[in-house]
Parts: sequence; structure tokens; C-alpha cells
Amino acid sequence: MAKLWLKRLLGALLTIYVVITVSFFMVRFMPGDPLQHLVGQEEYYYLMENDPAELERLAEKYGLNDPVGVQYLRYLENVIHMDFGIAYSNKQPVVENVLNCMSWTIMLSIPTWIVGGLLGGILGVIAGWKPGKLFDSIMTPIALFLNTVPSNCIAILALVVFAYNLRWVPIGGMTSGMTTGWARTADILHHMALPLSILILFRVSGDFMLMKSSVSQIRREDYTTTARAKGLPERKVLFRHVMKNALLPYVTSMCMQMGSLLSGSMMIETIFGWKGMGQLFYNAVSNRDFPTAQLCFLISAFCVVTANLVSDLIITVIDPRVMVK
Amino acid sequence: MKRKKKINVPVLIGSIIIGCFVLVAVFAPWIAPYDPTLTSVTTYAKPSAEHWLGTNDVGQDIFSELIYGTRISMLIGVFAAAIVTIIGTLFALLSAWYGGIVDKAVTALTNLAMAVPGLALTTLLVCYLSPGKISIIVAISITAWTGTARVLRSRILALTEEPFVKIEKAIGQRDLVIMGKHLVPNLKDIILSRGAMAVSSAMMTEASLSFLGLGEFGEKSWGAILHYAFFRNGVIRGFTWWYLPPILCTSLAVLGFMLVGYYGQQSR
Amino acid sequence: MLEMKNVSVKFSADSDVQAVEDVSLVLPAGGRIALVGETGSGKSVLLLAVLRLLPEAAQTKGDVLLDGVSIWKMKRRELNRLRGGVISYVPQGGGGSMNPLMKVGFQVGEPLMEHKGFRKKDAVAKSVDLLRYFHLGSEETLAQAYPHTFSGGMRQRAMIAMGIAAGARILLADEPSKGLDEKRVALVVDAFNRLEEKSILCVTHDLMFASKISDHICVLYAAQQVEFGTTEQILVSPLHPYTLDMIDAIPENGMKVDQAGFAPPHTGYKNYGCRYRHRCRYCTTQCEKMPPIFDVGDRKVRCWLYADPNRKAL
Repeated sequence: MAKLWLKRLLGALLTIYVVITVSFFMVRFMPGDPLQHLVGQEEYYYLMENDPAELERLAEKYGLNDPVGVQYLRYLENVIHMDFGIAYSNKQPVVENVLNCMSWTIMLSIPTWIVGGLLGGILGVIAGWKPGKLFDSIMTPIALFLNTVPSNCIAILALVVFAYNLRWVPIGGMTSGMTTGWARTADILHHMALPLSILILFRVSGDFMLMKSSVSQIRREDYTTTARAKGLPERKVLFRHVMKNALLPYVTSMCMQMGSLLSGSMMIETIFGWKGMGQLFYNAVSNRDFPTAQLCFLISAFCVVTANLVSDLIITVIDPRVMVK
Repeated sequence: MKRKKKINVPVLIGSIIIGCFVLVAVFAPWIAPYDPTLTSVTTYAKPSAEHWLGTNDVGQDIFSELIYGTRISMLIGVFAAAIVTIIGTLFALLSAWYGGIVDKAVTALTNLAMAVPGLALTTLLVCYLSPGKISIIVAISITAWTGTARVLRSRILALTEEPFVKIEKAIGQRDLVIMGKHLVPNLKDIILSRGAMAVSSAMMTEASLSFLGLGEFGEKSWGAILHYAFFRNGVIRGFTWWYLPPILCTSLAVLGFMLVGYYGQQSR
Repeated sequence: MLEMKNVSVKFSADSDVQAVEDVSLVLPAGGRIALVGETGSGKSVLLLAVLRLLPEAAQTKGDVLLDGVSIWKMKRRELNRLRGGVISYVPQGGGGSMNPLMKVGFQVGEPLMEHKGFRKKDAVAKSVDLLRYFHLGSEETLAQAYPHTFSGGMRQRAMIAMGIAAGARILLADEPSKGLDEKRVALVVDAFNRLEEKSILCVTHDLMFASKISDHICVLYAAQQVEFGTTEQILVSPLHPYTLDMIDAIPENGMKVDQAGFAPPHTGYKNYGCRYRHRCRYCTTQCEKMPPIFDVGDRKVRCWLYADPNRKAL
């Protein structure tokens, strides 16, 4: 057991290392001067025209004139110290900006994860246990449709209907400002109602499809017939035999979704003006703010790898078959 | 066994949708009444006989934009999906057929690519590369092949146990011949259905990227039309004819490929 | 006594493919009947149908009676009391027959919890005894192990143990010898012989195995009964050409009939006549009509050859 866990842990560490390395070389080997990726496009062209000496000084400062090996080691050192440089949007350290946005993202992503996971799972079990029945034949096309339509389309339509036409919720942003205490909390809740509902809607439909397909597959397995043949009532067949097996893939997927808790939804956050990680990443990318974009990418990669590791470990605990392989 | 051949309704509907879009894409210059890049002084016009879907902020005809947008959206979707499917199939063949160290290496690579958050890497890549069709296609393909590779690998492993493959192997038939004669034909259906799914997800990614303004400047894909509609206040001012058509087109096209992929796989 | 009356099974209402067609069979108390037929002959479907274990989409006709009471018309609750308590279905012990996430001891003892009110601990303890009865070896450890660590033969015997755990008196066994080598088949045969006074209805494609565990054999072909008789009668003097071909195909008999000739039978068409006629060496024009079941002494056979009551065995 311990050996297997150690192996998984090493694998995860290796993956993170590879991601960090790839992210380093991506900057160096992309077309164009790496300095452009480090200081940002606008700044770069400005300096090139007005102050080439400053540009040279910056290149020296970032050590771009050193051999690649030296640069690489320095880069690793910076990553370990969580030093990702200064964002040029507001001249703050990149790390600080990111931490700021993270809390706003978590406010949306954790409720989505919990509500979506529970609701999608429960509905999926109901539909999967009696496939072809009324509930299944209503829910499945809806979920399939929601899984199909790009999230920005639904989000824009919802914005038009609920914010512009019905005026139930604000058009965007996170607070109206000026309030404190409970009023502020209520205000934030009011602002997050629509983006949160949409995120939950999408998550429920995704989780629903997953749970439905695994339950409807497992109810056809031989061991389900075996359980029925013992004279177990349907309730026990479902909860004792089917659910346990159906939860295996579901747990894996829930862990994976946990990996995206910090990275946020670029689309929803951008459309609703929610200043979370997703929008930070989006703004960084569209302003060619490479240090911020790089950190956002590294964080989401780190989270995904960790989530992967956690799901692997959980599976080794609940699935006895894993240990043999 | 004699059996009435049942028509798979969802697949049929999906194929019809795809067929329509393909026709529109091919005959775009004949269908579109205007040159979509042509600007004019009639900005923000409402739908009329002259401009069926009105005009945008710089007076371009939205209907023509939409028709030409079909070309770009479909092109990127199909190209990216083709690359994804080919890479996935090749990796699956390599790892399942040769096994051993090749298998280990490919599996490790697959796990690695799966561990990287797809959309984030795609976005980052589009940002580093100069924006454009090629970089979008490259960025979409770079992580999306993993699913296909996994599914096919397990299928091929099952196939290599089949007697007709074992016999060929035993009589020393060349690997390439076996792959071409037995493996690929047997996997044809699943490859096609995975391919259709790949088109739908590539189109979705493309729509997201161009909606975020990461597409090629001036290239009017559906996502880009929506981008301008949203960021140039078309949505706030209630110009339904501006933001609704690209939403409908994207959803419909993605739905078409999804139906073919999802239900095509299920029928067996 | 378990009685099947004109049982027919279809898998969808609109198709004319019959999985089982008009099968009638009586399993007396203490009787041992083997249902023999090739893959797709409908024998496993028939077995599942007895306890209503088929998927919901399946359409059934006819009736199954236990001591004169219809199982098919029973209420859910009574049916559950019957399943595992009076009649046990013993699945083929393949990899998927046991829940992969539960210890074997619990699964074997589960019928005791359901029918005899055992606590979990006692049920597991009892399952150790049950496993020991079938000589699985180091039973204490095995009861705490998971199914994937078992070999096919072990799983099969554990399934039989599970079947008799709650004292069922009728066992319905599905292909217990499938995929096992000779040594392991012998162990399963031994397990069957330890079942003493129980009634057994066993589905198998293996005539040799059937001969070791049964007193009567019912041969199925393409969803229909084609022959019924004692095990000895069937093996020594088969009546139906199909039975004869099957016996000739056994390796010990020199494989006089080529197995490759055994294509999956047609079941999809009406008015075809005798379903075996395209493979039958005794086929005549008469066979274009479906033969009824003829009584030949105490035996039954579905073949026009026996329209003449004085006709001898093949």
C-alpha cells in the first residue's frame, strides 16, 4: 500500500516538474523575443522605440543573456520562492493579485462543486436506475442539450433575460460598493445569484450524465442479477450493491472537479464581470501579461495534478482490485 | 440474422444538420448577399429587406458574416478534430500493438497530457503564439487527443486477442498490413464517432476562444461575431439579431456533431 | 416441484425473435435436469425467467409454478422470499458474477441475513463453514478476500455455497462448467454431488458435464425443446438428429461432426419449418413444416422421423 502511494506521489511530483519546465521553455521557444513575453507586448514595443538601452538593461536583469541552463535554474529557484515578478496591470507582485482573485473564485466554485455534485449524483441515480422511464426521458435530453451548448451562449441569454429584461439581478460585478456587514453579504449574494445558478446548472447536467451512465451500466452487470437472485429487495440491491460500484467513477470525477476549484470559469467570470481567477487569467492573456498568465496556468496545473493524486489514493482505498495491478 | 434495419434517428438528424452547414460553408460566396468585411455607414441597422439580420457596429452585414463564419468555424473544428483523431489513433496503435516500453512511454505521455488543464494550456498557447487559425488548431489539438487514444488503446488490446489477428501475427504478416487490414477497419466506427465528438468539442473550444477575442483579428468566426456583439454592447442594447444568430449557429452545429458522435457510439 | 408451462420469452415486443419458445418442463423434488444446448439456444434465458430475473424489456408468456403456485403472478415480497430462500439462482462464476467491492464471505452469507435474520458477523462466520463444505481450502482467509483474487473454479463453488446458504431446496445453475479446465470441472461436479437431496436445474453446453450431474436431459435448439429423456437414454440412444450430432462432436467420440458446422441457429423467422433442417442429415421435404413434439415411450422428441410410433432411435 505505502509503496503504491509513494509511487503515485512521485508520479505527481514528476508531472508538476514537467509542467513547470514546459512552462519555462514555452516562453523561450515561442516565436519572438522572450523579453517580449516577460515584460509584456506594449511595454516591449514602447521601450524598443524610445529606450533600447532600458530594454537591454531589462534583458540583463531577467538574465536573458545568460546561458539557458543558468536561466532555467534561476527560474526553478523563483518558482520555489513563489516569486513570479510584477504584474504590469497594477505593478503589484503577481502572487498578490492572484491570491486576491482566488477568494472570489472559491466563493463561486465551492458551492458549485457541492450542490452540483450532490444534485447531479442523486438525479443521475434516479434516472439510471429506471432508464427509459418518464424521469429519465425528460432529464437526459435536457442534460445532453446543456452539455452541448457552449456555456457563453447560455450565460449571455440568461444575462439578457434575468438582468436586462426582468431586472432580477444586477448586470455584473460583485458588489455595488458602499455597504458593510450584513448588507454587504446580501449584496454579494445578490450579485452571485445568476453566475452561480448557471455554473450549478452546467455542473448538475454534467454530473447527471456521468452518474446516470454508470448506474445504468452497473444495473446490467452480472453481480446485480446475483444480488437480486438472493432475494434482496430493490432498495438494498441499489444501495448496497449498485451504488457502491457506481460511486467509483463518480468519486474520481468529483476529485477532478476539485482540481478546478481554484482556476475558475473564464467564460462565466468574464461575462458577469466577476473578478476571480478566470477573469484574471483572461485579462492577463488578452493584455499579454505573461507573468500573470503563467502563474495562473501553473496554479491550475498544480491543482489538477493534486486532484488526480487524491483521486488515485481514494480509489486505492475503496477499490480492492487496484492493489493487484 | 434477418432484421429490419432501424434508422438511428438522432444520428440522422445530426447528419442533416451537419450537411446543411457544410453546404452553407462550401457555397458561402453564392449565398451571402454582401462581402462580410465591407464596412458601411449604416451601423447598428435593424433587420430589413436590405440587411436580413441588420448590421453591426461598423456597418457590416451580419447575415453575410454569419454565412462566412460557417466556413471558419467548420474549418477549424474539422481540422482540429482530424488532427486530434489521427494523433489519438496513431498513439493507440503504437502503444497497444507494440506494448512494452513503447506502451509505457505513450501511457505516461497520455497521463501527462491529461493532467494538464486543457483550456488553460490552450489559452496560454494561443496567447504566446500569434493569434490565428493555425495556432488555434495547434492549441486545441495539443491536449485533446488523450480521450481517443485511451478508448482506442483498450479496443485494440481486445482486438489483438481475436483469432484472425493472432493468425496473421503467427504467420508473420507485416505489422503495417495487419493494422491496415484488420485493426483500422474494425475500429472504423468508433474512430468516426470519436471524430464527430472531437469536432463538436473543437468547435466549442474555438467558439470560446474567439468569443474571448483570442481568434485571428478580422477573421469572422461565429465566436468572433458574438465577441463583438458582447464587447461592443450589442447585448446590453438588446440587438437580438446580432447576438442570437451566432449563438444558435454554434449550438446547432455542436449539437449536430454531438448527436452523431454520442448516439452513433451507443447504437452498438 | 417446479413446473414450467409453455414458457416463451421475447426481448422486444415488436421483434419476432424468440429467445425461448413454448418450453414446458417439470422438475420433480430431488430431480436433476440438465438443459443442454449451444450458445444462443435460449437455455440461460429460460433459467433467468424462472425467478423473473430477466431485464424489464423482456416479454414473457406462459407460467412457472412452484408446488402449484405461480411464481410469475406472485407479489414482489413473496418473490423476494422465494429467491435465495427456496429457489436459488447460481450464476456462472465468471469475473463479473460477484460484487468486486465486497468480501466473498459477506456475499456468500448475505442470503442468511436476508432470509434467516442473521447478523453480519454470524453470516460471515457461517459462510466460512459453507466454503469449507465445498473444500475451497483456507476458508477463513478466503472469506475475507475479494472476488478478483479467486480463480474461476473457486468462484463457481463459492456461488454454489451462496445458493444453498439460506437453505434453498431448488438450485438453478447457469453454465457451472464454462471456462474451467477438467480438474476444476471435477471439483464443481464434486460440489454438485454434495448437494444430496436438492433439486437442480442446470444449464450447460457440455454434454459430458451434464452426464455427470443429471438424471434427465432436456435438449434445446434455437429456443425450442427438441428432446427430453433420461441422461442415459439421451447419451446412449439419442432420438433427435441434433442430439446425435452433439454427441458425435464430443472430443472423446472422435469429433465425428465438425464443430465449425455449428453455426448459430436461426430463430428469427416464422414458418421456416424444422429449425435444424439446414444442418440435418436426415432432412426430408416433410421438414419444411414445423414438427410437433412426439412421445416415444416415456421420451419426447421434436422430429418428423418419429411421426411413425414404431421408429427406433438413430
